[in-house]
Amino acid sequence: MTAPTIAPAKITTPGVYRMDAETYHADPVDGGSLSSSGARLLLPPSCPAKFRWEQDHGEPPKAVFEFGTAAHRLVLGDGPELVVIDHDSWRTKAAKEAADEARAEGKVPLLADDYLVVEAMADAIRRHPVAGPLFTPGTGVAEAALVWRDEPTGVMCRALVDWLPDKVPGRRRILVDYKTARSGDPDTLGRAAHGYGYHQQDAWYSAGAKALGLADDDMAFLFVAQEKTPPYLVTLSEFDHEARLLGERLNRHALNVYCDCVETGRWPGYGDDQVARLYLPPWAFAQEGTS
Amino acid sequence: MTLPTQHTAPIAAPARVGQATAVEQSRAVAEVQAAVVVAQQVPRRLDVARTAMQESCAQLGLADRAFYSFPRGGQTVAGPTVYLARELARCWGNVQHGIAELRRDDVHGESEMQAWAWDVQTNTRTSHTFVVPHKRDTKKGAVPLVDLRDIYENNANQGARRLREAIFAILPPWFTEEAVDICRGTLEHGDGRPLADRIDAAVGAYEGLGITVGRLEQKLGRPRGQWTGPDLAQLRITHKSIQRGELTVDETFPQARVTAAELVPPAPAPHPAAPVDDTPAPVVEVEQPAAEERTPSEDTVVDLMGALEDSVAAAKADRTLVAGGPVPDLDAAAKAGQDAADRVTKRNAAGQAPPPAITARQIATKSAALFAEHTEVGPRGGKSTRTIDRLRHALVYAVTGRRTASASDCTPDELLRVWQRMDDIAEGKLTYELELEVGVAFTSGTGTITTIAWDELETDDGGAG
Repeated sequence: MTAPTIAPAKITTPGVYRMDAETYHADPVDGGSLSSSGARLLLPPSCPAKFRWEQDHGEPPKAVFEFGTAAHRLVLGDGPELVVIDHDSWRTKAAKEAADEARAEGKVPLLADDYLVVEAMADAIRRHPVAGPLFTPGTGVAEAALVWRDEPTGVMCRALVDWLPDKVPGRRRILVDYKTARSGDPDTLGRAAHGYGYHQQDAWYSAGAKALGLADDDMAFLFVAQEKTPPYLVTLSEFDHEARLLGERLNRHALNVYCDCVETGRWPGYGDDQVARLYLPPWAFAQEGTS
Repeated sequence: MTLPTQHTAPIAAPARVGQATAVEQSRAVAEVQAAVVVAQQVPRRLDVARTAMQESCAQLGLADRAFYSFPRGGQTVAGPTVYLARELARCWGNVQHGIAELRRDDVHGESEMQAWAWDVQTNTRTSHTFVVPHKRDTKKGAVPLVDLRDIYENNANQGARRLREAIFAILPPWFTEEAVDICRGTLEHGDGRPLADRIDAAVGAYEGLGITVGRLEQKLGRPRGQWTGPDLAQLRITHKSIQRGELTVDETFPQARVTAAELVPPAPAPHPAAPVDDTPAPVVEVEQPAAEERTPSEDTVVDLMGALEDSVAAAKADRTLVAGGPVPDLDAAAKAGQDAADRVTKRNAAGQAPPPAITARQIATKSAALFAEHTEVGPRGGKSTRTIDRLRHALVYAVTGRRTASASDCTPDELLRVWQRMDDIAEGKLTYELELEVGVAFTSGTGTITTIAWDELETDDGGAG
């Protein structure tokens, strides 16, 4: 594999880079690039206007994201420094101030109780018979940023791969994404994956790996989902063929929308200037007969 | 409403008709009249038409070209091709059909075209007039076609699709449906060779496209041994569609599923000086009450400090990988090792359930069942020993560190641990790779490998190690 190089201030050429999450999310690519979450924001149920807003204003920190970041840090051994805030909740002023201070320094604040949970989660991962060895330090690269140019549209794209296991001769390339989840039940995960657009993420990251020559067509994208409650069960999963194809089509659509918006300078909202028609869900009518 | 004044003739006609044109015009009129008259005089016989269709569709050459398939909106659209339509029109008889380019407009980049089919006997006629833009859809959007050959092929392609629909519109549905069924049957039957041979041929054909058996099996949802005639028919249709460029390999065939085996990183190569590099994690006896009680040989490193050093070494290796990148967190790696040590302490403190009494005989019985497939007998020190026994001895050696490796020398605690390792093997948590002449390598779930050469063992039934 091409060893990841440290990212310059502004990235101009496709490649694999090492950078912290903050730099990645702030878009380090010269002239702007589209990320997988950006692509999802461009399409319904979101719209280009929301994408634009987030580009311009950034995403506010959310405790749930910080929890996920902390779990990534302990499981993957990479990421921003964690700061344990010795309070019971975020409600007190002192706790909020301590959290803000930590964020200002680029660190991730975490309540003491949450830290214990995250530690226990990382421990559970290490004990997992497959996920444990998979994340063995030294057998892959954590948080590798892929930057590539989408050929048909010429748009620069980026992706932050949680865990890029080293290529093993005779085996195909596998990209790994670690997620914390409320439930690791595959059915529930599938539904959540649809809601969050994980199939698009799969297709997006795979496209990047292929474009950079890291992987062939036979590559696989693996989700390692872990529950946030004891016993912190771990589920390894991958999408089926149809889901990945759908992801590819949606990504293609998003790239086209992005191109149009950049060209015209217009980032439309939901219905733009049209008057939208509202429809009730079908069960609203079914209920009428029973009341 | 006021109608606009008509300034031009509704049908554009040349101002002067040449002699050749006049002859052709008369001929066209006569031809049409003759066709209708002949059709009435020599009407089709349904039984003859049907027999002709049945004979045609029984030919593999036609059946192979009878179906198309292409992806649209996540689904694969499939149906009978224009080849089949033309052949059915021929069998049905008294049918005329054609495609005409009525007008080509290079300025606006489009052709006006017509596809038509006419049952001259019943005077049933279908025609589609349509405009074909001189463009081709690509991922970037529609790209204009300039090359004359490209325009011709695009027109012919669009025309053939309309022609197909026109012919099927005038043929009775029962006739088409029967033909489709027979074609499918022909494909299922193939060239008459036995199913197994045809499966081999299909697998070979797909190998030529770079598609492995695994992907075919995943597509069909059945292992190769359970494929049926209809499966092979579908594979034939798909193969033709890929050859014609209607389908791409990647959108048609799912990649093989990820297995746990390919997720576990390969263990580092064994250290040449020490035959036993490390002990597999299950064997890294985290439950051991006190390491100092036993006196493991230096070869059998059952040592958490070793694991700790490995983690740090791995992290150092990582640093060289990310040349120029941020220094990896060595503390994290060290902490991982420390955590493992802590877990040992905790577990020891919690106390283990009292081990059930396991005898050396039980170990021998269980190992005989577990390694039953290894019936080989290999030479060693002028004496032949059974591989089953060697594997058992190797396991005992890995657990106890005693080169005599005899189960009857083991303490109850050691016997229990050997028993547990055999359970791990049975459950797939611990795997082993056997080199009949050399030794065995055990691989734990965490990827650590313990290699044991037969020569290391000093057993009752073997010579000196």
